[in-house]
Amino acid sequence: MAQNQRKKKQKKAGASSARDNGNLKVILYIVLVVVGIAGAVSIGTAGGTTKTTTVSDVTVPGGVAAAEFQKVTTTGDALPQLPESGDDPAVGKAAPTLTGYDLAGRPTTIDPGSDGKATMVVYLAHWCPHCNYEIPVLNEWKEKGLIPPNLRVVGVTTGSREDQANWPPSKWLVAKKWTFDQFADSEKQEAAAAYGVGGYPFLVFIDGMGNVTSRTSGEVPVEEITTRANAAAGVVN
Amino acid sequence: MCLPNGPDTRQNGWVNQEAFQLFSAILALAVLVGGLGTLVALVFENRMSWTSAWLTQVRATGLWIICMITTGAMVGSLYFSEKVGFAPCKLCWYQRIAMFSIAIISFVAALRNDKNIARYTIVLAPIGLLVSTYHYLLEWFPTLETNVCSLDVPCTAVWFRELGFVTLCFMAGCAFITVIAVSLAIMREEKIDSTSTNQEN
Repeated sequence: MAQNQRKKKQKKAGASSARDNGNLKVILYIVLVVVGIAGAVSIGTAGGTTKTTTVSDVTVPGGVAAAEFQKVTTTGDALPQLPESGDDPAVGKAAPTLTGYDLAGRPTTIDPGSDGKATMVVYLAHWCPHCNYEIPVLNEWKEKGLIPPNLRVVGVTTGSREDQANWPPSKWLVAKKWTFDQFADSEKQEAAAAYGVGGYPFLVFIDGMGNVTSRTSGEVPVEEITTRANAAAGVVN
Repeated sequence: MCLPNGPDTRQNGWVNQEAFQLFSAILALAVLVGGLGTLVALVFENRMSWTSAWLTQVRATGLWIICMITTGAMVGSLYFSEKVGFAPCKLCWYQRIAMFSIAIISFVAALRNDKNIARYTIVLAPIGLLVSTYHYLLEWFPTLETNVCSLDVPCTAVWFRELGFVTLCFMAGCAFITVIAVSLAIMREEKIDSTSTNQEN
């Protein structure tokens, strides 16, 4: 009786093992077919594409070649990083002067207070979704005529990455209908470091004397931009 | 700080990066189809003719299926981060914890034919799926979490979107769904086996 049961068990185990081998083969074939199809499709459709760095040899008179990164020279003390909460230690401090070029290679300077005008510096990363949401807000702010007359707005392209969305920033700004002044940060992000950028987008408001009145990071609604800009420009709300 | 802008890696190495992205996306979709098929088979087991045959195959080779899927995901993830330079964000790391753990324990289980592994993968995979689902939503709706991009590697940044919707966390989600489906299939088989053994006794 016990012998019969053992024999049955052995027979069952043998059949099960044979079935498992068959199953494994089937799975292996399926995997090979799927991998083969995926490989053929991907190589066939994406094999030849490459990304190119957009650098132009055309030089603007008095400038340098157009490029997504430009040389930046900083004069003055760098601002501390914006803390996540609490008072901003940069408020009341003199904003450093940034000398460099825009994306087209034209010489540009962010020299707050030099002409008695207030300045708003906007740091933008092309790949950042919040920067992509903020630019239309700034455009709306402009279209509504809410910009104080004695305020200069400058956008700084920073944190640019060739392997990220919306590269190159020069085309991205055009696509986003950026009509304010622009300034290209260096690969080392010296312009961002000088203003204590802690996230994107990053807005710095500077009064006509060249002192920081406020800084903020993240998406900012039109009303808040207006309030901060007016405070920097000395406009009474 | 932000990662340095290195040289163009798209043509470096043994494979074209864009081709590999598309390859991974197609594989992930194939895995998802398999996983969803298994879930449907589980729901309609014994009610539709093809379900039993499908589940027999899945149950017989389930341990190796889980091992292959998670190991493939692990290798792909390491390729994208170490070779291509796509630095993983915080949520990517949480998914990696689940995925890499399953890959390692399922390999040992497959060697030993230890189907009890399903009890562990059924815990790990849903955790990974929850994180990848949230990550995927964050990629489409960045304001869900915050309204600012961090300087280093924000979870809202998308490295690529193959076929318009397949991102890295989407691929991870596909793997987790299939691991859950296969684990459920294995666990139900164990339950059926134990029930029939009890009835025989």
